[in-house]
Amino acid sequence: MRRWWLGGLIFVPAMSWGDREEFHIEIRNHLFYPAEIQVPSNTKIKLRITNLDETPEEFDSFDLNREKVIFPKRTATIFIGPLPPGEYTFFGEYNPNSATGKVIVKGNSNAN
Amino acid sequence: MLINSVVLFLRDALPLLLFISILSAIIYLRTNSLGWLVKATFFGVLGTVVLSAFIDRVSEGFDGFGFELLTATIHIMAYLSVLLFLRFNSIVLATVAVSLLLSVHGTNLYIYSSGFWSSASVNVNNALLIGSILGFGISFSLALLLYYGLSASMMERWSKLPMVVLALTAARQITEAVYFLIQADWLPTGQPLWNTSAWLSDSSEFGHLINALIGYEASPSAVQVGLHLLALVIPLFMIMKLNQQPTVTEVTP
Repeated sequence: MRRWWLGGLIFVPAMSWGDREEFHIEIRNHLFYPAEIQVPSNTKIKLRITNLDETPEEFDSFDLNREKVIFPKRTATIFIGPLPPGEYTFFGEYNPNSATGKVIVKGNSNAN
Repeated sequence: MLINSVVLFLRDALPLLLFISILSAIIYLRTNSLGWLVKATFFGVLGTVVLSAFIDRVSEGFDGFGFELLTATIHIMAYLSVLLFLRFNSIVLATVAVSLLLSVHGTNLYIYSSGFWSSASVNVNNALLIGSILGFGISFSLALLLYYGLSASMMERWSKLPMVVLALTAARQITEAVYFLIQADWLPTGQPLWNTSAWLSDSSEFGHLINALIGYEASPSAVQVGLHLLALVIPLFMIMKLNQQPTVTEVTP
């Protein structure tokens, strides 16, 4: 019984990961590519960020309430949303002047 | 860059130093010794070195959420250590709590510092250095003020105040853990219950201070608020229950 409960704890989140729509961003020469992504409104999405540089970068966004270090030559995952329509800016903490971008949430404002 | 590096230190050094100052105030007045802090620093630095060496590989575990899950686990362990410290008054548990938090915050500072320094041109390195010194200076000064304030309160009739502040700081560890578990999608995000950004922003200086002390969030979700309150009520209840002057037992970790 205890094992089932523990297994549930581990696998329920893992199952939910697979259901999310995925979006990809790359970091090259301290810039985000693409710098803008469009995502559906009121939906939780999975954002995968690959850092192709030789130095770490931190994906940071006050609008999205997310911060995550992406190590050199590694890929990190961030869940964002569900969000109402609008524009949500993000930046690279270590290169805030050059590494900037935004998540554009499109769709109607009604919750699912 | 100067402001960035100040904020960086406020974000990681401030909560750690405030936590240390509260425990130091409680323990020092009972034992007249800060030897436990030397041990905690040793184990914390050791933990930082080990974590820093493997953190990039750890971060790729659990579908890219290894860092969040490890950090959340360490914060939960630190919270449990504080609960056990309140219950058993053992310095070993205070040492464990500080070592754990030093490991995780030390690793964050190492990652941020290496990221900043490797990305920066030679021209901005001075700004980074000055910013780091300023950030550490501000954090250390605030921690020192808190230490002397709490030490003074223990000699007056506000003798339980340091324990209450410790409970607030302990609950902050759960708020941190919840933040990382939400980011990893292990807990539901939910809609914010309120938004006080206009009144006190997370990114403001005072916002950082209140966050470091009690885990302030400008727009928390129901899960964050609920688990924070639960994490706060448990140690407060323990303090009320143990309403006698506890004696700390010196145990070598």
